[in-house]
Amino acid sequence: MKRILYILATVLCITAPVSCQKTGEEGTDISGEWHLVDTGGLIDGQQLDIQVYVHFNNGSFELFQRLGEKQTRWWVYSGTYSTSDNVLSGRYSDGTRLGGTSGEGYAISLEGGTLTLTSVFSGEVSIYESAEIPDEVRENAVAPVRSAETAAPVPLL
Amino acid sequence: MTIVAAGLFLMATACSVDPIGREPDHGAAIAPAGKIINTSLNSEKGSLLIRLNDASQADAVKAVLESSGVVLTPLFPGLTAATTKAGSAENRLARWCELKFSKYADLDSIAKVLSGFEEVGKVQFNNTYKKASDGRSYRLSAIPTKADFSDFNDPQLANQWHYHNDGSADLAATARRGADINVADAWRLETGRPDVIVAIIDEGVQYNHPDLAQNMWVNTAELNGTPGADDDGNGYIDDIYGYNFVNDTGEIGWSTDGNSGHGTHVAGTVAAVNNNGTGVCGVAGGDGSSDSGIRMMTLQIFNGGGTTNDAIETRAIYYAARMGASIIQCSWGSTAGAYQNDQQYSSANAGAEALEYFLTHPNCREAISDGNIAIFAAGNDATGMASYPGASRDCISVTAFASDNLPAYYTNYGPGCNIAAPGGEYYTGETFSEETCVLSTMPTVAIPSINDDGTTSYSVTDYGYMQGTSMACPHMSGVAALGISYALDLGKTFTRDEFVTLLTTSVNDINSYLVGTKTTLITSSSGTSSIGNLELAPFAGNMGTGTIDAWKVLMQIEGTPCLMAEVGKSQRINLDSVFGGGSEDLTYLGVEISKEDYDAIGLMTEPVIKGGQLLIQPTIYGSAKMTIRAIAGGSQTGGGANMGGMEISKEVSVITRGISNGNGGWL
Repeated sequence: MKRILYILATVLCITAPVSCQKTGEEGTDISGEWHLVDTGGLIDGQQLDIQVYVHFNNGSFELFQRLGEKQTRWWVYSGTYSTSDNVLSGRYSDGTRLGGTSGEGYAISLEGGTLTLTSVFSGEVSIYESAEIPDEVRENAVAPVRSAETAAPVPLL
Repeated sequence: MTIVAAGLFLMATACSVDPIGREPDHGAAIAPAGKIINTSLNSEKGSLLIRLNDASQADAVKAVLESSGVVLTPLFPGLTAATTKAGSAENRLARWCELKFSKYADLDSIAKVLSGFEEVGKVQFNNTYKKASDGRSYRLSAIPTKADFSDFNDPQLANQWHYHNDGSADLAATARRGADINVADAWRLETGRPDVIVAIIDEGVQYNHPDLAQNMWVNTAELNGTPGADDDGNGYIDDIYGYNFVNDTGEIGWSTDGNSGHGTHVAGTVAAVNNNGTGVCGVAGGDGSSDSGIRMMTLQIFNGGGTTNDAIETRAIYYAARMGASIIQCSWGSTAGAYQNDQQYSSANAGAEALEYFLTHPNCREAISDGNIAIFAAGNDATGMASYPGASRDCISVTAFASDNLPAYYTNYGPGCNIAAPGGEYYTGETFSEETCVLSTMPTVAIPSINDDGTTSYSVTDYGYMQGTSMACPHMSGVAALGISYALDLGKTFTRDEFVTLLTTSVNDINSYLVGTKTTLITSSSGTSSIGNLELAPFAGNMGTGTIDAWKVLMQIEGTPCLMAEVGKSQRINLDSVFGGGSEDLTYLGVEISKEDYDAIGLMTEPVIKGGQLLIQPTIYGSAKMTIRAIAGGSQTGGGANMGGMEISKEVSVITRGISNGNGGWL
């Protein structure tokens, strides 16, 4: 009986990955608000203003980012994630996978107030520190799409 | 010169005198001396324009011509050799004069005689232009309802689908969600500022309309001055809300016979007062407070139907430049095909010189440092080229789409067209309804006009629907005004080229919809119209860069987001965030990158555009800047012997990382 329930649970997880991801914290608990402080020297070494905050919360995430010179607008992305086997994986709400097109995710290292995410695909290391996301960031952020996006038509053959 | 003037006297008063024994060559583009720059076809009767070699010659020429009974006046009032500095832009304009004759005068012959004056450098027939609308207005019968997409309380906003289109079948069976200018979101950030002035160059605007009055520009020196006096010394008397260049008076008219309400309708789209519990909204109409909303000056160049001409519109454009307008809103132009390229239109043309003056004399330096913006309707000839002056490379020419996000049946398209906006369409799909036209303000009195069959009809009052690229154009002007306002808010300054690039790349894709046919009004080659299937393929790639999106304009003013690329991989990067939703269909002219930036991300080869995407192969982490050049509208740039789009360029930053996921998100 236990075996049947296990198989059933496994099947449900496979067929309903989103609902499984929503449990979020099967592995390392990375819940909280984080601020990107370093990525392979990109932040310190360049003239660009690279600002990234992320909020992981029970299987859902919000990502606030402002990238580039003279940018005043924060963009907000959202999606779902899980941390199975100490690997962060998931999808943005538009279906795009976390961690690049391969979707292999990030290896997690959590020490105190520092979260290190290492791309499984490329080895890129991003270091985040625990930090409350400023209200002005949340209030200023918009989704990177228009609200009334027209759906692309399907040409008739 | 005296002998020539004597001949001129005869021709100026008679109708068919031939001074040189030959019939005037009506079809010739250039007289033997090369001084006559256009033909008499479609030109105003009883009027010619001349450009003197030097403004200081005006008095001498005037004396001679007046002895022949010919009236000579400076084309630009107040500009003379004495009032302008030699070599200045104003001095160059001061060379232009208008000559007036009997309406029966043989202008072709007179032009040839004038070209014999050594002081005369150019002779121009006074070109005529028409409004880009059929002038019909349709009654508003919709029940007022609160719009669910905005907090504004204007009772007819819900019927302005052109601002926010939810694709409801109640509008039209083929209505498409998002076939609008996406302004509701933009209003959360910007509704317009009073220090941004748009000149409505059109029929007179009813400046005391209850839904417009608050957003009208007011010349306080004249308002508070002495009636009948030129209180501000600008050469115009009592120009309180603008000027009537047709009747040469400060008294603006909108309701005399033959007017259509066109100017008042256009003005309402640009900036009807928002959130005032009355009527409709305007794109840059403020939030209801008295210190919000842009301001509109009314520069009347049409009156009582018919056409306008170069002498009139030229003065209006110069007035706009001089009196502080940073945008001219021009829903008029020539018949498509009247000019085939920029050179033909602009070679020493008075209108082109006035336009150049306007474009290069900034009135809002804090936002646009080196110029102003000219926006024209593409025209309603259903022809594969834009009408002039809008087709000129430096003007923005606006095509029209309908509530189904497809080209309106009447719109011009092709070379010279830069961007698309909602123009409305009475016949959309199987729906024949005024509600699929554009809803805006109308004069509060019914204006009579005589129909072809001799009957009299009246324009609708207060509010009404109209269709045309005339209606698309003010959407673009309103959005541009919002953009300038937002730039001022943020303290950001752009060059004119940067701002035009920003406007023309803040678009959504239209080309992917242009397959098959749509049901609408079709006009056959014999001129008869009936409902039929309009082929969409000819419009593909010819409606401009895409459909204007107000939200995207504001986002681009905030800054262009970085692109992200993956190290160690040859990849194509979509450029929608840089060049708008139609980026893959644009014609690109190239990518430029410095050696330093090239090395900064370890490029293996020069970045190029392939399939409308940036092809790049970085090998090391870092960032680099590159400049991508493209054409806004069509596949060739305008200018010179071409009719075409304007060259635009964007500097973008590319961040190279270990990952890239395509949607721009960092994780």
